[in-house]
Amino acid sequence: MDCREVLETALARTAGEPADTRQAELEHHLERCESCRRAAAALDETWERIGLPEPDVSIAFRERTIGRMQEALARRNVVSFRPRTWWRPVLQAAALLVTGVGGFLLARASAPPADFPAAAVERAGTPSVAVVSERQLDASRVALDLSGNPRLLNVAFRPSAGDGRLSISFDVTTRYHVSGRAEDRAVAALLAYVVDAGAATEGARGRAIDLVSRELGERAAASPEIVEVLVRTLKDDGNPGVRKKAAEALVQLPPSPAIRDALALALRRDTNPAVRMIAVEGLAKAATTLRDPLSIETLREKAGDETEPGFVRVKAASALREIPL
Amino acid sequence: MRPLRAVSTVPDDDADLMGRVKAGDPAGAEGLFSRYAGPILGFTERMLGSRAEAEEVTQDVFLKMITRCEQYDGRASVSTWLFAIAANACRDRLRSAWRTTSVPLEAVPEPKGEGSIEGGLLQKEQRRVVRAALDRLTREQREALLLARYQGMPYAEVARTLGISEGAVKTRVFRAVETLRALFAEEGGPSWTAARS
Repeated sequence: MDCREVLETALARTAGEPADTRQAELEHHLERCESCRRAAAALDETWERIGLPEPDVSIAFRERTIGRMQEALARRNVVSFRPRTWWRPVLQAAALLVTGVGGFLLARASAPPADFPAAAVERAGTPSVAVVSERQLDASRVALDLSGNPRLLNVAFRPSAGDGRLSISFDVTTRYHVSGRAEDRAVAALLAYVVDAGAATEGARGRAIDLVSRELGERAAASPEIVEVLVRTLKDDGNPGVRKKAAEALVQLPPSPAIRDALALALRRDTNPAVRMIAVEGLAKAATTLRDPLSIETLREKAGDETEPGFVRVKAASALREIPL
Repeated sequence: MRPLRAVSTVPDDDADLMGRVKAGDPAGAEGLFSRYAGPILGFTERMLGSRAEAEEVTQDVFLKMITRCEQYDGRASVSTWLFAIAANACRDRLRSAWRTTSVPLEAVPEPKGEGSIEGGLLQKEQRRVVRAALDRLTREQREALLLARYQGMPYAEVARTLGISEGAVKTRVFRAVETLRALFAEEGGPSWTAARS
């Protein structure tokens, strides 16, 4: 056993690995080799020192994840549809009703969307695409184009209730890839939607804000939807990291009264000092650019606020010193 | 001196819970979540350095547990299977060009009330020092060390989770601890008392 092997084995023993047949050899080496003894002790000490407590699983995270798992289980529990002989005539009738629908779907594709946010409607002449979660189709008026072989999930049937009309329901999972320039309105509207409510997790919201900051920078000011949603996120989001990102994105924009008000509110009320620090930066910028008494007053108030942590007060005082009055 | 044996201590119960997941019983999924959400969140958070991303990945792990439960054949323990999914997800994240490089969310402290900041100062300093040091390990060293040190997995189970040999685990863990020892020595050692878990 060479020294390197001895140290690897000694550390494995510290980690709880069972002693192997070479244990005696290890002990013998350690007895004789002073440098290995010292090195093994240092590794043991490091092993102990890197102990960290396990993070808490927040109630919100637990509820969110368990809810999603239940949805996933419910989806999986639906028995996949296997046509039986006696259903075949019904399906054939349904197929007759639905063939030829392609034209309708194409027509729908160029009609104004019903469920997508109004902001997503493009300039006149640009076709719009509705991203919807549910669609009702009347088979007597439309036909379905199934030539793309979509995978139908959760198929359910409702037999006719005397009026001769039966109902077939299903889910089709569709992944959309929306690509375009940052200044394209559809991209801005989609980012605003993700930041606002469309994305389920803080991580996705945070990454959408990062993308806004990185790709749009000051140009985001040209998109009222994005400014509005960033202001709302800074004010209302429950996650301090997301609020901080929203504040950082707002600080990059040319100051406006709406942005100034949002930052002033965050500086007064946000519970997180990191968010308040960013708000100080933004207000200093607003005070310099807009020559704005409200920003200066808010900063003065914070610089003298004994309840604030020292670093926020110092930041506010430094910002005041740098404003050309 | 194995630190935590929460993982894989009750393989029969885990297999039973997994059987219930396969049968579509939400209680099975909830039971496995209660047992492994903390350890997996700890692993993903230390791998990715961000609480928000860690929660996203951990949620994906449990959703994959449901959608892919038929692929679980019982040859490895449930915990090994879950941690393998988590390790793969972390690797994908770390490779992703979309991954943010901004300050991790947990770097933004959320005050929980009077005195909590001061009270937890030592622990926060300890976490900061260890996290900063863990970030300086290679991805391979970090994942092996996290599973062996924080999840208390035997080297053989770490090897199965990561799809490498037991010898490779031994070497990676050794190199990781050796690197950390050198880092701490270079910086004069962490200023906190050793925490024994």
